[in-house]
Parts: sequence; structure tokens; C-alpha cells
Amino acid sequence: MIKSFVESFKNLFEKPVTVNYPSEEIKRPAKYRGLIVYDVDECIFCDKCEKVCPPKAIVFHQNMDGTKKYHYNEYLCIFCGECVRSCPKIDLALTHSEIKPNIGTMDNEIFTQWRQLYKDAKQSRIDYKLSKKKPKKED
Amino acid sequence: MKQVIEIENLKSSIKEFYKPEVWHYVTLNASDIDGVCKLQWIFTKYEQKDESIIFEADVEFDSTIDSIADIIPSAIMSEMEVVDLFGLKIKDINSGLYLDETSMKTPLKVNNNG
Amino acid sequence: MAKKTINIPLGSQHISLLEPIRFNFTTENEKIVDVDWDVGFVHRGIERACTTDFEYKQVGYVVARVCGLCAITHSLAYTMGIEQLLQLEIPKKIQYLRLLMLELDRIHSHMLCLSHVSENAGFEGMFMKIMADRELVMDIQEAISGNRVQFDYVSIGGVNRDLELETEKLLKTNLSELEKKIDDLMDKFTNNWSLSLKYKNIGVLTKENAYIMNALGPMARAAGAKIDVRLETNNFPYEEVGYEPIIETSGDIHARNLVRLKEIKNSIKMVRNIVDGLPQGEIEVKAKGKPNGETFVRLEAPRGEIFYYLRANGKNILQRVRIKTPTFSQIPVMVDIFKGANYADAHAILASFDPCMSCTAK
Repeated sequence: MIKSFVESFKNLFEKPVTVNYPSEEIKRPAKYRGLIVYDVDECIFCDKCEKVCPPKAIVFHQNMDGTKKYHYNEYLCIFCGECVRSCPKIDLALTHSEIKPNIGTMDNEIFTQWRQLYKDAKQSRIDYKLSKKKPKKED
Repeated sequence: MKQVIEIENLKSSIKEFYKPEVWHYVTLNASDIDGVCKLQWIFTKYEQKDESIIFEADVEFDSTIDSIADIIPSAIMSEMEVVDLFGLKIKDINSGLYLDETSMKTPLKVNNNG
Repeated sequence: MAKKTINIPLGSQHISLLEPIRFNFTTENEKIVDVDWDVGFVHRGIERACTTDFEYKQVGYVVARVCGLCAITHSLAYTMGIEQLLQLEIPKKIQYLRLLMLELDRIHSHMLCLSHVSENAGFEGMFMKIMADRELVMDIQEAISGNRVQFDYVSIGGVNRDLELETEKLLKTNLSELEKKIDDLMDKFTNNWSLSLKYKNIGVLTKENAYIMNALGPMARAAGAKIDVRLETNNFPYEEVGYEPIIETSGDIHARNLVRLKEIKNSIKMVRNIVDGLPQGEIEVKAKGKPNGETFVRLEAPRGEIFYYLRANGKNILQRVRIKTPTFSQIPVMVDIFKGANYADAHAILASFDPCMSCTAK
């Protein structure tokens, strides 16, 4: 009984454990897993990151003149880092940063129209392959 | 170690083999391979390294089999799961553990139409 | 003339439950006579998704999201099964790093259960205090793997990150602080008079019933039965790092609390031995080929025994993935313990079982 009195008295003068967020910042350790950052100059368009991603958050759109465009959905991503590990250009084309993702609002195209974007990208691959086959048949 | 049994001798083979202080019942496993349902009853030994016995049997999907819940009380959970997800029929076991009227019927059967 | 009975539900939404489960008690003058149960409110169909939508390299990330508290145990059991099918040899350093995360996971899961048990006995100040002390362990896990809850630390052929010097220093400081607090907690749980009224001789499981009804984990060890998967498999070097089985004899709620506290102390000792004796080497081994055949793996999660069965036939997509979790096979034991107890003690008994419903209804 006396023990609990002494302990409650000591607890009056101890520092509280809570952090007053957002006026104080929370201390994070190094190498926190955040967004994936893409560099278009180093990429060789091998498609390995697209095949490996578990929730299918990376997709490349094939244009008719032979170039490809990179699309990334930060709201489906689980930040596992498999795409960074499977890229042949280690730490150059794709890097794992410490930036937090943004809030998804209705004026963000990726957030509202991702399904249509994914379907168009897959369809553009099939159309490109068919257009390459036709001139050979005519020859 | 594997042992193949006939489905009619299920209750007698398990009753003469099982002792509660020596053997541990792990689970009942069912898989759908090429249209045939393969059932496996898995037991391991207490306090021995890596000793196990698996009883195997092949059944058709629309047959009725016995339940071993009167010999091993905790087997009722895995039998309810097999009835719900594969559509097998077991005596005195009802479906309704995971699925209700509005969900897909027998989801783990490979060629189901429901 | 038959006595009148009343039905009282402990419904699927309740203020003392962490996850949804429904019990319907038939009571006669405050004593529980019969129990009717229902689980499966959070069924998500993971076994079907693993065999139709995802390839075998991606299933490890899907399976880790079955449960939030034992996430590393699920993904570790699946990865070990695939490595047996691919016939890969794992070097010692990778085994030690995986064992380190497994034991740290056991510490924080047992602390969550202890805080929940003391909240259901009416002692809410202790609930807040144990949760604040649990943050010491969550900081270590965030420094090692990058995340507090979902680690994503294990992949096929090795682990994703190495252990660095600063992380080691943080680990040693936090663990010595945590050990003092656990000693203080053991003193409170044993000697406090009002807690002993709620815990001693309530919710008893006898040793005979533990063998007949197939009890697992701390519930069986508190009743005197020596049931532990770590004694029955050769997957990890447990004898080298100092593992001891912990058995109590009385089988009530007080014995289960003591088993969990002593297991936390044993895990702290094991983690210190691992960090001091970590060998040198690589953290990844290249895997070749595709999985073929069938196998099964058993591991000791904080709540009992986890069992995985895998079957593959040489393609990218697996044929069958079967998951059996400890709370799933212990529902008949729970129903048996409720019969004969007072209704007022039902909440404390349910919290001491440590049920994980997301694991049960996968």
C-alpha cells in the first residue's frame, strides 16, 4: 500500500512520454522506407520492375514511335523495395527515398483514373506488336 | 512417413493408431488435383525431432465421408472448413463457417461455376 | 421442474474485444452452462488469391498481411517451405538474423496480451504503462527493418538488410532498460492483492484436458504439458543461443501471465546472445529453377503452432497453399473452459487466451 503511494508521488514529476505532434517532429531512424524515385535518363526499359511488383503499381505505356512512358501509383505501392532490388542499374534508375506519400485528393489523376490507365497501357503493348507484324507479312 | 488408407476404414484405422499423450493432431488438408479430391490427415509426435505420419485417401467430390470428431474433439474445425470451401459432405457437419448466402460457393474447387 | 436459462451475447462488436468474434452464453443464475460461437467475420479469401493471382515470388508479401501481430512468422514459414522445394542451403548468418527478428516479435506480442489482460481486470493505468514500454521494442524493429508493424524483411534466399553498428548500440540500450521494467511487472502481477482476486483459480485448464483437446502455446504450458514446437524441429539453432522451456502447473489466468513474462525474459537473453555471436558472411544466396513437389513447415508463433503446406508442379503459380493458425485449432478448448465459470469473469478469461481473429478467418 505504501509502495503504491510512493510510486504515484514519483510519477507526478516525471517527463510524459507523448510527443506533441505536429509542433514537434517525430524522430525517425535512418533508411526509413518511403516513396520510389525514378530517373528517366538512366532507365534502359527492360520491364523487370513491372514484372516483379506484387500489387502491380508500376506500368509502362508503349507509344507507337517506339518510346515508353513510366507510370507509378503511390497509393497501391506497399514500399517493399522489390523493384529497386531487381533493377539491373543498381541505385541509379530507381532509388528508395525517405519522402512520405501525399494525401489522395479528387484532382489527382493517378488516384481517380488508375484502372483506365492500366488497361490502356496493356492494350498499347498488344497494338504495337500487331503493327510490327503486318509489314513483314506484306513483304 | 506416408500411409495410404481406404476411406471406408477411416474411423477404425485412426482409432487404433491415436493416443492422446503420444501423438499430436495437426490438421486435415484437402487439395483439388485434376478433378480428384486428395485428403491428408497429419499427425506429429510430442518431444521427438521431426517424426510425423500422414494418412492419405482419394475421394470423389459428391461422396459422403465419416467424421472423426468423437475420437479427436478439435478436428471439428478443419472438417467444417473443408465442407465450406470444397463442397464435400461429412456426416453431422454443417457449412457456414466462413461463407453466407451471398458469397461465391466452393471457392477452392478449381473448375467451379458458382 | 427445469430451471430457467437466460441467453447473454458477447457480441461481435464489444468494448473489450480487439477483433470480431461472437459468443452466445446460456446462463443459469450467473453460471455459464452452454456456449454457442461464430468466427469468420473477417474472411478475405487469401488461400484462393495465392493460387490464382500472384506468382510464387510475390506470395511472401501477400501472406505476411494475414495478421498484424505475427507478420514475420507467416512470411518466414512460407519462405522456408519454398527453399525446401528449391533445395537451397541457407548459411548460418542468415539463420541468426531471421531468429533475431522472430524473438523480438515474440516480446512485443506478449506485452500486448499482458496489457489487454490487465485492462479487462479494471487496471487501466497498467494498460497505458505497458504500451508505453512496448515502444522500446518497436523502435528497435523500426531501426532494423524500416517499418514498425509490417517488416517485409525476409525474401527467398536470404534477408533484405544487414545489422549495422548504430542499430546494435540502440538495441543494447533499449533491452537493458526493458529488463528492469519486466522485473518490476513480475513483482506487481504476483503481489498485488486486487489483481489476485481476479486471476487466481479462474479459467482453469487441467493437464489431462490439454492433451485430449490439443491445446497449444502458452495456454498448454501453463497447465503443465510440455508442448512446444521449438523442441520438435531442427529449423533453427535454438540450443546454441540458450532456449529453455518454461512450464507452470496451476493452469489458471495467473499461470498464463507468469509463463508470458518468463518467456519475455528468456527471449531477451537469446537476443543478446545472437547479437554478440553473429558470424560473418553474405546476406543473400541466389536461387535457380522453379519449385516442384510438396512439403510442410511448422514454426512456433507467439500464440502456438503455425503450419504451412505447399504443393507446386514446376510453374510460376503454385497449386495449393494451406495455412493453419494456432487460434483456429484452439476454439474447442476455449469453449470447454467457459463452461462452469461465472459470467462476470468471461472477459478476463477471453483476454488471457490471446485470440487473433484475423489469423483464424483468413
